[in-house]
Amino acid sequence: MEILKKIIIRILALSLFLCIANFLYTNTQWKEDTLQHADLLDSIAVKQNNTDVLYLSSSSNYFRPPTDTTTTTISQYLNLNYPSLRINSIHKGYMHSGIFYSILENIPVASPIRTIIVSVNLRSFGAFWVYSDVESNYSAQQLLMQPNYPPLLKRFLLSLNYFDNKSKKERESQFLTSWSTDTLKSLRSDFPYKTVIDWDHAIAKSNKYKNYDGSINYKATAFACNIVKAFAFEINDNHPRVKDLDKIVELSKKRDWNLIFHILPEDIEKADKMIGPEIPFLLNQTKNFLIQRYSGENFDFINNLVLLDASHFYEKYPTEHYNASGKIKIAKKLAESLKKYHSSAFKVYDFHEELSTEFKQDNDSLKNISLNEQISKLIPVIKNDSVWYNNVIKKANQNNISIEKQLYQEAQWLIEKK
Amino acid sequence: MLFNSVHFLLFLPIVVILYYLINPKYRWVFLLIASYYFYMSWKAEYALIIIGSTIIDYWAGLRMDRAISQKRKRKYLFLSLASNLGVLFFFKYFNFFNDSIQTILDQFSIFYNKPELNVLLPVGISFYTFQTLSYSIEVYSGKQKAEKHFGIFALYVSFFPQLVAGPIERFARLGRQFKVKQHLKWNNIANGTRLIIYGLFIKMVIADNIALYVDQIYLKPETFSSWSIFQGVFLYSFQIYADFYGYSIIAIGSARLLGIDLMDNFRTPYLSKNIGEFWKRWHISLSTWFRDYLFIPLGGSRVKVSRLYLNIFIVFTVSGLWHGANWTFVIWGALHGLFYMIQNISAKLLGITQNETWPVLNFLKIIFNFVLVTIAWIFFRSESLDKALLILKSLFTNFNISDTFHIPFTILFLLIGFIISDILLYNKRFDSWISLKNIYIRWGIYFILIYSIIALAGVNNNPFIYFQF
Repeated sequence: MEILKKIIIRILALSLFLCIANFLYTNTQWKEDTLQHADLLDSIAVKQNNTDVLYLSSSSNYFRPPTDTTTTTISQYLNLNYPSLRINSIHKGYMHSGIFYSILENIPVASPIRTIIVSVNLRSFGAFWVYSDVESNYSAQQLLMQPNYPPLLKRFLLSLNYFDNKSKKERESQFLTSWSTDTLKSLRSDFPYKTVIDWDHAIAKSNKYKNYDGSINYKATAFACNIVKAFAFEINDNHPRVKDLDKIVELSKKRDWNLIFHILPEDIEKADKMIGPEIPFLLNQTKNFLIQRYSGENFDFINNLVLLDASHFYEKYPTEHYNASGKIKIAKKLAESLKKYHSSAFKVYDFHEELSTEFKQDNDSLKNISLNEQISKLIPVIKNDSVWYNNVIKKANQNNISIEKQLYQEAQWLIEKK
Repeated sequence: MLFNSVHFLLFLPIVVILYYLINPKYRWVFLLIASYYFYMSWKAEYALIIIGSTIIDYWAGLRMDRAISQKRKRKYLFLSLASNLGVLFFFKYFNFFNDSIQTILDQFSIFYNKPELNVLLPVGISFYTFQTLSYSIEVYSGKQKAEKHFGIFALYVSFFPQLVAGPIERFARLGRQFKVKQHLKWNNIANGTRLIIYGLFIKMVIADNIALYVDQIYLKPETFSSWSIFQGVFLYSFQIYADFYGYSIIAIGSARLLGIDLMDNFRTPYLSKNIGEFWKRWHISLSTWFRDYLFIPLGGSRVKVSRLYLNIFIVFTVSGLWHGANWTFVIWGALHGLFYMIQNISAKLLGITQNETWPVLNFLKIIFNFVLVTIAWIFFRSESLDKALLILKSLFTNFNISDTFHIPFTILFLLIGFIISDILLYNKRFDSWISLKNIYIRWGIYFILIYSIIALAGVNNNPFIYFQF
C-alpha cells in the first residue's frame, strides 16, 4: 500500500511536470523541430491564411525540364485564369494522397481555403512509390502533423521511432516482395507474365530494343523495365492510396470544401509503343476504378490520363514531369473544372503568349547564335529521348544517310518550324 | 523490440505489474513467456534457435552431471560447444569464412565456387550462445551443478532484459535469483526506474544525437577536412560508449524492477590508464568470459612471457571476431592486443607501476589510452578495411579540404555533461549515486533527464549498436 502511494504521487508529479514541459516545449523548441522534421507544417502555416484554392501535388507541379526556361507551375498557370483568386500550392517530390490528407487535417477551421485540388498520380499507387525510402521521412512528418496530440508527445513518439521508420534495405525488400508475389490477375489469361518481376526480367533478357547498328540499346531496355515496374499494378478497396483518397473525401465533406481530384497525364503513348497494350490497359483499369468509386460523390474527378502526348513529357524514367505546354494544357482543363465553384472569378486567358514567350525565351537566348550552333544545342535533346532518337535512326536508314546528318535535319526542321 | 520503443515502454510496466501479482511459484513461467514474446517480436521463427540451444544445453548439462568419467563428460561438453558454436558459425561467420577463402584462393588464381547464405543474423545470438556455453563449461569443470528445473534453465537462457545484448551472466549468479521469491520492494522500483531513465537519456540523447554527425564522416570521409574527421572519430568513441552503456543500464534497471540483480557491464572505461584496465571496465561480462573460458585454459598468466603475450593476442583477436564477421573487427581486437603488449612492455622498461599515484602521469596515461582506444574504434566502426585506412589517412592528409561540418553547441554541451557525469560516477552506479542526493537535486536531475529524453533525443533509425552482434 505504501509503495502504491509512493508510485501514485510520483505519477501525479510526473504528469504535472509533463504539462509544464509541454507548454515550455511548444513555445520554445517545437518550431525548430517542425522545420527540421516536418517542413510541410511550415508550408501550411505560411499558406493557409492567404489561400482560396489549395493545389496539392508532388513534383509534377513544379518540375522544369532542361528544355524549358520558364519555371511557372501548373497552379500558377491556373491562377492566370483566376487572377482574383489566391491559388497556392503545397508540393514536394514523392508526396501522395496520404500526405495530402495530413496536410488537409492541419488546415485551421478559420482558414479562407474554399477549394482543394488534389493531383492523383497513378504511379503513386505502385509498389515502388508505396514502399519508397522517402516514406520514412514522410511518416515522421505525418506523426508530427497529428492534429490532436500535444507537441511534446509527438516529439517523444518521434524519438521512439513510433512511425513507419524503415531502412532503405527494408523498403527495397518490401517492393521486391510485392513485385514478386502480387499477381496481375486482370491481364488476359495467355499473358505470359503474372508478376512484375517476371515481366521485368523477361524484358531485360529480350534484347528487343536495338540501336541502329543492331547492338542492344540498354538505355531503352532499362526504360522499358522501369515502365513495367512503375505502372504494372492493380488496386482494390484496401489499397492504402484508395483509403487515403476516401479520407480526403470525408474530410472535405466535413469541412465543406470544394474538391477536385485530377488524374495526372501519363505517357501512355510511349508505354504502348515500348511495352504493348498491357500497361495502358492496367492504367486505364486503375483510372476506371477510381472514377467509378467516386462517381457518386459531389466533387469533380477530372480524367487527364491521356491528355498529353509523348512530346510533353521529359523522362529519364517514367515520371509525371511535363514541359511548359503540357502544364498549360493541364491548367486549362483544371480551369474549366474550377468554373463550377468560382465562375465569377474566371477570366479567359490567352496562353499563346506563355507558349510563344517560352520559345521566344529559348530563341532570345539563341538569337545571337548561328543556326548551326542552335542545331548543336538541340541535337543532345533529341538524343536524350530514346524513342525520338530511334526514330531518327530509322529515318536515317530509310533515307540512306548518316545518323548525324539525319539528326541535323531533324533539329533544323524543329527550329525552323518554331 | 528495442528498449527505446513505445512497445517496450508499454511491455515493461505490464510485465512488472503482472509479475508481482502472480503467485511466486509460477513467476518463472510468466517471465519465460514474456521473454519469448520479447524475442519473437523481432522474428518469431528465430525463437526456435534459442529453444534448440536451451534443450541441447539442458540435456548436456544433466548428462555431464551424471557422467562417471571425464571422457564421457567431454563428449557432452563437445556436443554443447559444437551446437552453440555451430549455430553461431552458420548464421554469423559462414559468408565471412567463404569470402576469406575466396580472397586467398584468388591470390593463387584458383577458382572457388563460393556458397552464399542469405539469412538474417538472429538478434543477440553471440550473447546467448556465450551465456549457455558458460553454463556448459562450468558444469563440465564441476563448478556448477546441472540445473534440473528445465523452466529455470530456459529462463536463464532467455531472460529478456539481457537476452539480446548482455550482460552475459553466469548461471550461478542469475539462475539462483529466479528461485528466490522476490518481494515488491520500493528500492527495486525506485532504483530500477532511475537506471532506466538514465539509460534512455544516455542512449537516446547522447548516443543518437552524436550518431547523426558520426555517420556523415564515415559515409564519405574523403570529402571532409582532417579536423572534421578528427571530430567524427572522437565523437564515435562516445557514441559507442553511450549506446552500449545506455543499453546495459536499461537492462540492469529492467531486471531490478523484477528484483533481479544483473552485473555491471561498464565502470567509466575511458578513465582507464591502460588497455588492461580498460577491459576490466568495458563490457566486463564479455572480458571476464574470455578470461575464464579462453585465456585461463590457454595457460593464463602462469606461462612464459612470450606465451603470455601470445595468449593475450589470441584472446583479443578472438574477441574482435566475436564482435562481427569482418576483418575490421579482427584488426580492432588485434590492435587492442598489440596496444596491451606495448603498454605492458614499456611500463616494465620505464619502471612505471600500476599503482602510480602521480596525478599528472595518471592523467597523461588516461589521455594516451583514450587515444589508442579511439584509433582502434576507427576499425570497429568502418564497414571495410579500405574505409578504415582511408579515414586514418584522411586524418593526416585532408588539411586543405574545407567543409561545413560542425557540431552544434547543444550536442557539445550534452557531450560535456555526459563526460562530467561519467567522471562523477567513477566506480559508482547512477542509482546509488543519486539516491544520496537531497530531494530537490534528485528531482531536478530527473526532470532534466526526462525532458531531454522527450524533447532532445536524436531522431533516426538507430538500433543499439551491439544488437548487430
